[in-house]
Amino acid sequence: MRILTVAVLLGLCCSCTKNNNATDAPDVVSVVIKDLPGDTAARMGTGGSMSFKTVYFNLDSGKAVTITDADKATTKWDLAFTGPYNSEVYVNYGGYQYNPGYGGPGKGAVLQIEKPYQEVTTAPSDADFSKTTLTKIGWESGSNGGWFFYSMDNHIAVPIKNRTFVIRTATGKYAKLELLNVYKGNPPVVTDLYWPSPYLNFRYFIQADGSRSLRTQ
Amino acid sequence: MKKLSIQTFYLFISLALLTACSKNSTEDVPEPEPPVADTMFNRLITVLNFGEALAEGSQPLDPQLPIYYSLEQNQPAPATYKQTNRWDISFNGTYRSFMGGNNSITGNLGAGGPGKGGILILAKNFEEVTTITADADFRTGSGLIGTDDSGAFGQGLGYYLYDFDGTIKGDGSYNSQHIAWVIQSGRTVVVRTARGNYAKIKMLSIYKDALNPKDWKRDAPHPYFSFQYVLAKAGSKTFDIK
Repeated sequence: MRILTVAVLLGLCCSCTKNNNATDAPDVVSVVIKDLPGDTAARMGTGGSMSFKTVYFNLDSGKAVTITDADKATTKWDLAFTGPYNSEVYVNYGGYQYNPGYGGPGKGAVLQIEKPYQEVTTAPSDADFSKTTLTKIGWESGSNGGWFFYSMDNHIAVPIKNRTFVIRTATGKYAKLELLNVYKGNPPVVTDLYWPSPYLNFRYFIQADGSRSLRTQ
Repeated sequence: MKKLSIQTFYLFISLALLTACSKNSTEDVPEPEPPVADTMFNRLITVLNFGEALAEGSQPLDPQLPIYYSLEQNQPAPATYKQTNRWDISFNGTYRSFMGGNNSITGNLGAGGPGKGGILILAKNFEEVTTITADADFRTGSGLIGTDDSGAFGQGLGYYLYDFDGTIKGDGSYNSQHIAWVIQSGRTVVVRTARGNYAKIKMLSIYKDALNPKDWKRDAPHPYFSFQYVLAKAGSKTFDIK
């Protein structure tokens, strides 16, 4: 029993170290977006949860794009930051009623991988994508999937480490995405409820050649 | 009646003590699993107000102690039965409102037990769900099925719409905010039970004694789950009410 405990502790210790190294390692091909402003004027307390204007992002150009209602059902965007504090991310997919791209040609899908960003090197098969139950990347209620925990003690969104999202984009390319923070400056720990937000911090890699290779190191 | 000999008397006493003893010392070990009565299958069963009050001072997003229900026995199961086949669905997480099946895998509340269950939700009316879903499609975690994307904090397809602002289903007034609207049509939960039988479930309400949506108010006692279900035996291809 004691040996087992030691082994488990060692195992935890090693996996920790390994994960931390891989997560933090920068690379030269990923795109890092820092402090992209969400709807910083909206507030849950006054306007409510539906009052945050959606921010759209195109992975190919690496830029936020303005999308009118008429443009929603097009492939001009890949990610939509929706909901409270722009923290719920939809991938452009035309086949789901609550996706902003509903009714359009978007082929998007997302899968959650319990691995650090740099350890995700290949996109899963389309069969795997079609089995996904993740309709968007948002609040993790327990075991459903998502990129942050929400603490009711201090009303702060806490990003989940070592979790990566593999994406099939609106046009069918493959990408990987790590959502880092909605707080300005991407601070390692936030304790102040009034820390400026939402400012979207994330990094991603999109495979331009259409293959499934997502190796970035 | 014959008089008992003194020996017999002592024997009885010691047996009684022994029984009491073993009961006390093995309180956490469930009794042998009862068989599932044939009469449980293929009929519509209604459960009203399954649940218990949340801990005093609970905040909305606090994780809650899970509660367990055996569809096959049609009764709640205590938490001490966690690692047995004596429950089929669990409710945990926020407001205990997220459902899961009973499975032995790590991460399930039944981890390490014998459960081979799972859960999923279909965007279909209860009556229209007749074909039993393929085994591979069941999800084996806990706390999987809850808020629907049609409301706030949606987690994919769910059995209730959370109206944070009271503006989706209500008039935005104080009493219409933070209501959990169970989606009574167009959603059916399908469960593979701990022992491998199947059930389809129609969720009705998470408010106590309130099946009518008119009575779903902010201060109505919750979460108390009301639902209807039909069991089908392992190996069945369809849900039938006979």
